Amino acid sequence: MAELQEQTSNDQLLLQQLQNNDAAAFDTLYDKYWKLVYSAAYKRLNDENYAKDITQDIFLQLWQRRHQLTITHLPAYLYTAVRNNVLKWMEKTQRITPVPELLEQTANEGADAALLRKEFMIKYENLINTLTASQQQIFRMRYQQELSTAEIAEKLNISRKTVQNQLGKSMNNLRELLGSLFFVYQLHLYVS
Amino acid sequence: MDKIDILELLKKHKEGTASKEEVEFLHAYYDLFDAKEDVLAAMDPADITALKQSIRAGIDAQIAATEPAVVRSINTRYKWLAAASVLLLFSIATFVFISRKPANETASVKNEPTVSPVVNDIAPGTNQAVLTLADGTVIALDDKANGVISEQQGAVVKKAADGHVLYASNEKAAAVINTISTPNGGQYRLTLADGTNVWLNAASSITFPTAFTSATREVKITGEAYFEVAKDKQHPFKVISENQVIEVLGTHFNVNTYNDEPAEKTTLLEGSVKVSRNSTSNKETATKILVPGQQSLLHRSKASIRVQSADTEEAVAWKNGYFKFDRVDIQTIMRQVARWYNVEIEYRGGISDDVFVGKIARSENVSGVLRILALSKIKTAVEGRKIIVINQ
Repeated sequence: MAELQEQTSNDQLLLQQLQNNDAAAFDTLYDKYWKLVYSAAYKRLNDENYAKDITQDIFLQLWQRRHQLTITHLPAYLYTAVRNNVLKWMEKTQRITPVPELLEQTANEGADAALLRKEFMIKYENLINTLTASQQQIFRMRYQQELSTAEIAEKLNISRKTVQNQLGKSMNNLRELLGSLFFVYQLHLYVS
Repeated sequence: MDKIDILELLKKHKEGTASKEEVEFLHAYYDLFDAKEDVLAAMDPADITALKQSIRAGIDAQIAATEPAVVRSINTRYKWLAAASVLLLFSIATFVFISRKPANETASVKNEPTVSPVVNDIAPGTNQAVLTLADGTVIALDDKANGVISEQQGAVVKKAADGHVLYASNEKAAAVINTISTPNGGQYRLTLADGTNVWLNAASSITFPTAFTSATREVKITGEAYFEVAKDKQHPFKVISENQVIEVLGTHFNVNTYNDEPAEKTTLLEGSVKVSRNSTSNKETATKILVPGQQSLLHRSKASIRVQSADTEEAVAWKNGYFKFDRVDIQTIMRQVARWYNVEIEYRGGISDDVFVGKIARSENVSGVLRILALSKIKTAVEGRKIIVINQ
């Protein structure tokens, strides 16, 4: 803990020097943190050039906006900066790692990975819970119990068209997402 | 399938219309990647240093563009920044050269004190190759169109009107193995029995069956080749080289597997390909799937395959009749020169680590390429079939 505080106060000193246009402080910060930024970007984008571009942008911003930025904890600032940039790149390049593939890639990576997966499942559940009760019911029957729309219609005593409309229209984007997440969800049910 | 929907969420996120749950879900998705292996952990320390410096050079160049004064102080401590600014000069010089009319070239060269005089010149490569049949018969191939070359068990080998070689087989054809190889200073185009078009660069070869009768269509290559694979989902197409296997359905891509290049490079222009290491001993090899515009790099000494976005035009420039260089070192340029002009390269006075940008027709004599280097202050001399690069 003491070490951590020392680290932070060290960064604060360097950031102060940065505000005084000290290029040497910038060198030190770059040497210390470039790997963290690059690795984080690379993990998400799987592309050297994109990861390099993002790393450049973030440190460029750190220098150019040195008089405006108030940073209390540099690693946290960098984490958010990388995340914003990565999500922007993903949107811009339309290239993402699909969820099932990502879960497969991280399947054997130990306790940290398990924790991240658990957190992911919680957020996923929360997202489903934003659906209305009837939407959820139809969704769960369709994707978790694997019932056909005809079977659902029969059970709920509504028309098949209504079931299809509910699935298709009101769930909109979410439906597809959950469709491919289905096996993940099952996995979650088995472990919890 | 869910690709579309994550993208949908990303769009909402960008526009600021995502709900709290959607944002949190995206963030959890983002965090999940943290479980992946750190790419730097598997990298050579030398490569890490190079990467660190290359990113830093980019930052400093951008700072320089906006705050010249500040960067000068940083400049002095980073030697390689000088190289970055020189690079800009090189690109101007090179493109100035390219835009010149050939008629003026000789005159302007004479007036240019920095240009080393080219005493003897060397002609570029031509369309030439050697075809080796299954029985060992060797047939020389050149530009001339001359109809049917050979018939082997139901497979016919013809020369098309433009001089390229065309294989055709009937249903009863039995597959026999043929090899077409190009020498230094040669290139060749052929069409395989399935309709796949192949362009072979200099000092390269392709070994293939005269008819595709098995479940997969397999060819072996050395050197560099560009493929336009005929679509046939029932019969995947495999390109096997010394260190890698590329699996495709129907697509356009370039494979560079020269032994003197640092890595086997596969560049995808259309469709999709799967690249894996060609290894029988180690089953747990990395596999990468490329999307158009990406390039995979497979280093002989490293287990992993790296993927980066690529200048596809540069990768297939050779096939379109050009050398194209985008920030490459002198050795990379000279390796291509050696293969196309069939010359030896010697370096005197050490090897410059400057990088070059430029484009030049492969139909030029070697003096054309050397003149570009001269404009970038690289002196060369030609002795017989040897080019000497002099670093001062």
